[in-house]
Amino acid sequence: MNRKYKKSQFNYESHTQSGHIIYNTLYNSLTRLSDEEYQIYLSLLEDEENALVINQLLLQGLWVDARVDELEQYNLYADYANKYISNKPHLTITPTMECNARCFYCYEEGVRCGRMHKEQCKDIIEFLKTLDCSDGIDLTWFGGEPLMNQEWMDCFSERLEEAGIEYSAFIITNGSKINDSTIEKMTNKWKIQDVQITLDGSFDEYASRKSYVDQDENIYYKILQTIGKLARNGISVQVRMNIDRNNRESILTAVTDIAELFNDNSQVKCYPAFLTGTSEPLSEKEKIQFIKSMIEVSRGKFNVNECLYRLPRTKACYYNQKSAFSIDVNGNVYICEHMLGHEQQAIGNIKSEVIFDEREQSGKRKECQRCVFLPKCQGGCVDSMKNGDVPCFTDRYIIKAYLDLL
Amino acid sequence: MEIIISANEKILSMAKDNNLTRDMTEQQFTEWLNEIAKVRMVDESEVQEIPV
Repeated sequence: MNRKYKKSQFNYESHTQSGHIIYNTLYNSLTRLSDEEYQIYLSLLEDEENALVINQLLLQGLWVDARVDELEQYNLYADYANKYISNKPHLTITPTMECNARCFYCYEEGVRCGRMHKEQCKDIIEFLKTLDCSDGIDLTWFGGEPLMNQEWMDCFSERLEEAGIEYSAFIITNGSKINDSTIEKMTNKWKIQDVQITLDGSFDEYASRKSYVDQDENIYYKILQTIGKLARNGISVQVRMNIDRNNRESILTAVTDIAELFNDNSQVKCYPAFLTGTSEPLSEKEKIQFIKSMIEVSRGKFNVNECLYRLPRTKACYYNQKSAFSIDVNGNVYICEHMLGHEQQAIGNIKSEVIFDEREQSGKRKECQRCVFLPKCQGGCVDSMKNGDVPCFTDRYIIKAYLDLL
Repeated sequence: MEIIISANEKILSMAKDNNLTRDMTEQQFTEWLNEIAKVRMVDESEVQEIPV
């Protein structure tokens, strides 16, 4: 029998004691059904007696017209958006590849250290002039530890101003070099609106994992103080928590500390990142279980809403964006920050030529096209996949964990 | 039935009628986007923090 409606292929179901929870990853609807309503949902039968329930199933996109090919429509939307909607250029720049931390998991390990020189500011500006910067650019300060070459950050910011290129900036830093003076510069000179600081656990675990060159036994508390200062100065702080099998308990302590210290400050949020390249990676079940624990202790500091409300992705990350580039201290240009320092992967150099090829769209892989979380992930991290790790972004684990808690 | 988060109506309308077709020009795609833009969407202020 031909049915008029079908279940959306983007429905993710979770069956808990409180009912049948369905989250639609394309339309972002979240619905709880009773047993009776769930049977109607499964039946796909049009029955006047159930008109109210059916109407809601359609309004929430849980049922869709049987003739609609949702996947094709979404793929076309993503393709056209990538083809016809131009993104502002995005640059990830490394003022220095030097770092005062020695994290064991750093993907830049073995990469030759070095610093940007003032003359390179001009070369990068010339490179930017080959791009459409009429709407400004987005800048990510990266490293190494970028704040170990603040003179260069000053210089490049000034050159951007002189060239009349509008920009806003984000910085990825370990936070150890931030003081009142750098916060003032962040706001007034470097146009930094958001900061990412990594906390891989609390106190001893944190100090041991970062293994700073300039050891300071109270570094964990100093970083927490810094996060507070940044937030009080109106700078958003994303606390990235790199998780593996061995630091889970310590991560929960750190989340609890953040929740207690910054309960009233919405500028501070934390998010999980599962370490790749480890010999004993956590299973999906373990990841979900751990995120449940994080959500429970986080008192709203865990940004579940962002995952639930995020519009469907048209690309996974900057790897897939034609106008996004990462530049290392030698002026080599890459399509992904994970490649920085690996010259053989460069697509050119700012002093010579850069090849502007179309970028592959990671979400077109067969397994991704079949995945209910495709709109949240679009294929995830290509670098992780190439290294034999799970490429999926954490959204899938966060959503699954959250639904289990409802 | 408890609606915890309502569907984003703009995205819902995107997939409703198989309106996107292959080989659309930039102008056709822009017109389609403009149509979608007319769909009312929940104002951001209506977005609630979802409790755990």
